[in-house]
Amino acid sequence: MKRMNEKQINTIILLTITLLTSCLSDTVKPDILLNYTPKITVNTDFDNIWVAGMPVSLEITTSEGSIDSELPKLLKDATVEYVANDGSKGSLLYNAASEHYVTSKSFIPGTAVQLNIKHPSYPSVGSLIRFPETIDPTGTLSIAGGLDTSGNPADKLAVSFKDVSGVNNYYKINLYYFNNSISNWVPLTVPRTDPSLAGYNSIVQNDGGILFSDDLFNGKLKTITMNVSLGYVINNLGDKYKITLSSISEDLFLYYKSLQRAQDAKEINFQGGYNNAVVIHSNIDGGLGIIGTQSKEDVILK
Amino acid sequence: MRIFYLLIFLNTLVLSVLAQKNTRGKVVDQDENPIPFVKVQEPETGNVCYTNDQGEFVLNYFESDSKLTFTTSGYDTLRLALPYDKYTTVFMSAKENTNPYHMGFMVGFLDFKNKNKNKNLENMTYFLGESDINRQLQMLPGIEQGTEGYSNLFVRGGEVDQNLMLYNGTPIYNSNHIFGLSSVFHQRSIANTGISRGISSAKYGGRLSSTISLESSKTGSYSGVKGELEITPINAGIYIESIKKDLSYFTLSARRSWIDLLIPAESRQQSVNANIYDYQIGYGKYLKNGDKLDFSFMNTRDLYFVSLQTTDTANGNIPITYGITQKWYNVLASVNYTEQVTSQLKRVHSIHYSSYKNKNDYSQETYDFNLLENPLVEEKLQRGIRDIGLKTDWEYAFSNEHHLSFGWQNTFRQFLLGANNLISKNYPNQSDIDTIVGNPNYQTSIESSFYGEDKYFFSKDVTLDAGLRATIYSFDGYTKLVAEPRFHLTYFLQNNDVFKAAYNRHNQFVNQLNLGRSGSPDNIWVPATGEILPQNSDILEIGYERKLGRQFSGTVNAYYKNMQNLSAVSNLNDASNPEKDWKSSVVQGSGKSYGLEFMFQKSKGDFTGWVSYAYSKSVRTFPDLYANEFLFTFDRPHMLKVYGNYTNEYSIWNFSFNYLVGSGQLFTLPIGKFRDINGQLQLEYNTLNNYRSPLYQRLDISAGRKNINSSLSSEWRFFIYNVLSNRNPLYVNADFANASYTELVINRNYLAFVPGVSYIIKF
Repeated sequence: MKRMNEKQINTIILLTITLLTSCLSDTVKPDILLNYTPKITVNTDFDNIWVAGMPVSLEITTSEGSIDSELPKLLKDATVEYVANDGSKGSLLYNAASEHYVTSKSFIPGTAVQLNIKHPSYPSVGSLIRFPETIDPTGTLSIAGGLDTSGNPADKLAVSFKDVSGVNNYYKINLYYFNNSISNWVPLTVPRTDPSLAGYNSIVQNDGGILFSDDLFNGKLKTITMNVSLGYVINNLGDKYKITLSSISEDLFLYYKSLQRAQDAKEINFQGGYNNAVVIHSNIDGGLGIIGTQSKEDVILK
Repeated sequence: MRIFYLLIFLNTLVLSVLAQKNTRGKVVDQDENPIPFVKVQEPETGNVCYTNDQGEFVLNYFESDSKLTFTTSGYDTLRLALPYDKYTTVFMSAKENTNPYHMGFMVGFLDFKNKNKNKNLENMTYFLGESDINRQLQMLPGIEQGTEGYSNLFVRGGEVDQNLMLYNGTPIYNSNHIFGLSSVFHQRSIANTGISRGISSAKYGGRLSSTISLESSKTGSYSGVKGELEITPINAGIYIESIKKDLSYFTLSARRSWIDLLIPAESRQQSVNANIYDYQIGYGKYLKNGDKLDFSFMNTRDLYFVSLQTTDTANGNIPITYGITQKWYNVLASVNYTEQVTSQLKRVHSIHYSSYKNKNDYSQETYDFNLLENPLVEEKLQRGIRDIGLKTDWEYAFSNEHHLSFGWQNTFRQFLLGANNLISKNYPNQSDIDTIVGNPNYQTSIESSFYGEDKYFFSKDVTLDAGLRATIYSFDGYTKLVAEPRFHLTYFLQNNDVFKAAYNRHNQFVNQLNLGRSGSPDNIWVPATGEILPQNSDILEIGYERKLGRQFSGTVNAYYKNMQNLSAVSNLNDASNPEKDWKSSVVQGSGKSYGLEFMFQKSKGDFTGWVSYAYSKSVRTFPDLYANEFLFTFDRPHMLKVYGNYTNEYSIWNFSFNYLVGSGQLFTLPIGKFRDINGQLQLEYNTLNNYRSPLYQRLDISAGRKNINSSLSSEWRFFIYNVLSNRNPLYVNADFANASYTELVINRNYLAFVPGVSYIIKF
């Protein structure tokens, strides 16, 4: 049979489109983009989310207009001051080596900190943050006490904690295995077998950890059970597991959630509307970015 | 079973009470247009009743020897003796200079037969010349098209899926051809289109924004056969209507695209194909006992197929063919049985079926001549929804003051949420695969509604409709009982004006997930669940209508609508992936809209039309999308619409225009860029829908020329859409021109000077 070639097909499509529609296009530069004012962007980077009881640091950059050819750049001469509700106050100073603003000051769980950042060329920004309370998790390990997804024996790990009722709480869980032969903690991917870790309100992190909310267990004692394939601990003297459970700020959770959506939306062509335009959450008043806080606790299982 | 006993009880109760004398009928003008609120009085007894919106009346306690008087403003008073238990059509003569504007119906209701009649909509300016019911509705105040050029309907800040579109009482789930550019309803196939823009009687429910009733022709002024043949750049169609007045009717409406027929058959099968069709058949018959039977059937289909052939140069120049097919269709069928049980009681029993299915197929075939059979990979994705509905609607004239309507409506709604059939076969050294991802089975919800409403003629000036609609919904273990109060007050201020006020509550148990574009066939119908709760709304509306002189009328409407549990897709990829639970990609929020609408119309003379202006605001709150309230995507605060038509029966030419000017459409543009917590570049959006495109302005014109010299009447019609070439954006695309995110380009697409033509032969 005679088939149409590609050229013929294109001709018919072109003729049809030309006949039926008069779809034109042009390029515009709306005022909303031309009148953009750059802002201060403040971030605690992924490896330096503020942990209660440890020194804190910040990265400060600028934002740029979307139609500007400039890319965001480091801001090295900003003034960064904090006032905490424990009576302390001070500054974070720029460290050229790390390109971060740092202080040796640490804050205990429950501390609220007001941060103010000024720069002569940009509008000042601020943020009121609070370090979450600790949750005192406990854990158990049952060697070969569970089954993995293939039905084979697996180590059964469990971590329990009490969720505070009446408020929305957010957590992060990480799983590590200590390899005695290399004397190092090796991160493992947290299995998403628990409903709170598998639902839409949970986010998988690059380090294998998972952020999740207390939507399904608000105010209750929560136990998360994980089955880890056998072969790690039982045959290796000195090897052990570590479950790191962090209580994280709501802002940090919302930030990661919106970031995840933005990542997904990039794979879709832009067609107007807001389906694939994602407003990334921020807790920086007048600026952009996130200062995430967490109270981190480890449960060692051997 | 309890429902059955309840109906038996109601039936017995009603029949036992009806031992009263009465007469009934319909009051019409010389053109057989119904006259509402005619006072029908028995002078000797003082018994009084009023005709309803359809001009119908039932007068109780009727003495056989008395003559009834029929009085209403603008018409000569009539004295007439009517027989018992008979249905009589009463003609009233309009006085000179009478304005026939219909002041009845609920606030916010509009149609093209009673409220907004004589507008010669067959001559309206249509996109591409393709006659379209939705384009007519888009010219009314409070109804927006959404994306430029599309045939969608957004009513008073509501979503597309919040419109209950009923074709002869049967819901249709996708009323679009060509991905939303044209509706499946040709204006010739629909005798009347009515739209309740929020307020409706308790008989209707299940959607938040509107009820759109499309009725095919079922009667006429006289018996006979008439029809039309029409050809446009897209379709060729035939429309036939055979009426035996007060006995039976038969209507056929069918059209099909014709461009694809120019392509050789083998090419249509192997290279490219695109065609659409729709047809509607209606048949009705009055039975010997006066009862009536109506059948209605409708089928629509869109098919698009393209196949491309390439060569796999890496593996010895093996030809590979890729094929992409998309097909969607509706099937609707209904049977209605109308029985006049007594002169006071009428019942309509109905059964309907409505099905919508969308199929996306992808295939890849490798022509390796070293193999006995060609390796083939196929993906076949199916989604759909279907309804089986049963209902019985009763109308009972309890007394001259109280007219009751009540009934039961049950819908078994089935959802095919997504099943992807993956096939791989004939690959050497590999096992064939034939597996289904997702759920290939329909999941059923049940929506059962009971309603009752009393139309209370409180006095000669005041009518109160008080109703309640209760619905029990269940799906997958989730059950919800809701009650919806419906109130409507009509107050005739003088002879020429009327004030109306109403409150409604609505619930909606079905949502359409918008996967990027409203009206797209890919959008997925999903049920309300325990996680994705049913939508609901509360609507308040007031209206004022006034006849102005002999030819004009004016209306003012103000409304406030509060909506809860609205749904939005938060992740397009996951929502469209049948492997994933759609619910995890849906977020819920709230919305509100309010507005003020003016409409001024002219219904008499050679030049007819209307001018409308709407001020409105519609906002949404979805905490999972954005922390604060933001404007609804199709919010347009100001919109002026003008439709004008010149038609003179003695002239061979007719002319028409649409003119719209108002606020531009909203889009979301990234205003900035910044570094995220991982050091990656992200786009900054200060809010959603942050950019309003410049002033929307559009003028469409058309001219028709009749050929009355030949034996068959024919007509050419010529159309131009957006003759001013205003740059009303179809899309505003923002994308970086390079991978380094340093050059953002905003492209705007728009439709301008789109021509259209149609040729019509009438017989």
